Amino acid sequence: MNYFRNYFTTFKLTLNNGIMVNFAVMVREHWVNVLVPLGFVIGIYLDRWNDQKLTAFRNKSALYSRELKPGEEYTWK
Amino acid sequence: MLKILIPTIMLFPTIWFSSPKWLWTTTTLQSLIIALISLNWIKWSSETGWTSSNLYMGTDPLSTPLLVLTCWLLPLMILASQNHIKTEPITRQRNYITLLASLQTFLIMAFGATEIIMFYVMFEATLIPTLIIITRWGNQAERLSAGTYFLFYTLAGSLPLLVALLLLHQNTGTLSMLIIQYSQPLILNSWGDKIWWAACLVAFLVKMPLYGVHLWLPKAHVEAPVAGSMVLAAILLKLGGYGMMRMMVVLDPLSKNMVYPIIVLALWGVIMTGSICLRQTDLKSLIAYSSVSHMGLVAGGILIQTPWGFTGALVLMIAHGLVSSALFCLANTTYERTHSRTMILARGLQIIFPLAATWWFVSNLANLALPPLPNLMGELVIITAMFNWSPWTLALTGAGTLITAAYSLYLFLMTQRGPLPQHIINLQPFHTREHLLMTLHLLPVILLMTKPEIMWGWWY
Repeated sequence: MNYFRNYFTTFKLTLNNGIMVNFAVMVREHWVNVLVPLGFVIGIYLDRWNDQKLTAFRNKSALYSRELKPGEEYTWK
Repeated sequence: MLKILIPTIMLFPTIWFSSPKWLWTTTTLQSLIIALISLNWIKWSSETGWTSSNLYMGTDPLSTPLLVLTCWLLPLMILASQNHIKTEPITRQRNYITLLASLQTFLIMAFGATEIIMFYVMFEATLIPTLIIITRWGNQAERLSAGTYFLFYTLAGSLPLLVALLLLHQNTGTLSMLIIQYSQPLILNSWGDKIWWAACLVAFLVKMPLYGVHLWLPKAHVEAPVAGSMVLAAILLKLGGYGMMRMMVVLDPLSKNMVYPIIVLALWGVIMTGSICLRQTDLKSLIAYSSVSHMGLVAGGILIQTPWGFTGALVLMIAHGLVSSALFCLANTTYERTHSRTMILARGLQIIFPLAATWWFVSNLANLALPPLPNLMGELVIITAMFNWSPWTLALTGAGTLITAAYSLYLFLMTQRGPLPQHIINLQPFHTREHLLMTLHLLPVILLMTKPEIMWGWWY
């Protein structure tokens, strides 16, 4: 435990105005804030992946089949 | 869809791993970010009527406003509960926020479901966190009986629904909301079919709640902590309305005659529960009964099955969700200071808290449907649709609005005006947090005036 305490106090940085920032402690306190944005990124990725899949289905169908224009993204929204 | 759902699920590790000092700040902020991102749903770009995220989940114009409302309410619930939960041990605080977040997860999956059985499962799943919130964090011993009422009323209504849904699946071969509206109309004429029809709706009517099966609601509201009351009034009741709108599509040929008694009961309920409000002494009970009264109007609007009826019902559900939640928050601010829900024991608060009196005034006006507010739009559209369906309903709906105005006046006079009781000598001032909470409730109501078409549902 002592090892960790020393570890956390080593990475200190003194800014120009004299405020000391301890990065290790900041990371330890606030790393949880990464989780929700991470979930957002994963969610966006999966949503886009699904749009792409459904667009592929749609472009294969007899009713909607067409070549995508250059630069056109997903037709399924 | 997943871009909201997965961050919501990620709230659970965030709640449990964040340091005790930052717990409330982190969760409020993160859930508010999720709510702000969810506003993106309103920007409708679909050509197909549905935006689907995978086989089982998607959004359409009917579910979008309710989904956004669900996401919007979580940060507000966390804000509102801070004061009375913060004194508890840290694990219990985490537990409490976890329950609120799990409620949001279930509700997103319920409103987002494209499969009726999945909607049903999530509809039932929301019971569990709500029940725990009521029975664990309620204030009095009566919370246990309130929990029993809540559980058994809702379950007794929804078990027949399960059987009815399995039967429907057997007949149509699918329960997908995307497909089922295009299937052949069912031929329904036997008595068994009528029972099936009733079983399809009764769960939602109990949840709404319809007058006659509403007794669980005032009890649950009175006993629940503030977040429980907020989520019950703002979203859980709307699950009933939403489910009914989804089911009416399938029930069509039989509904024409079968709905008469239910509409009569719903409209009669508007008057009866409004009158009950007029003689309430309990602040939270009054707001709960006013919810029943408004939801009666919503039930009527849905059951006549016209585009106007559906639109009005959706508009009123959203507006009522925000406003009744705001009223429960205000009731809680009084409760946290006087430790009593009895109105006569906390009169004349306008003198002490003038800004809070303004919040009370605005929320009351919104609740009684003052002209430019979306509440009026919802009520007016429903009343017009009902009048078109049968002119006689105007007697009931008209009397209903009159009584609503009367009990709103009663509520305002009892809490804010009049002499200050002798025993009130030292009240804690209002927190900025509470003002923020009210702003976040009423701002959307005011903004919705400027763009109501985002909650018009299918017919926009």
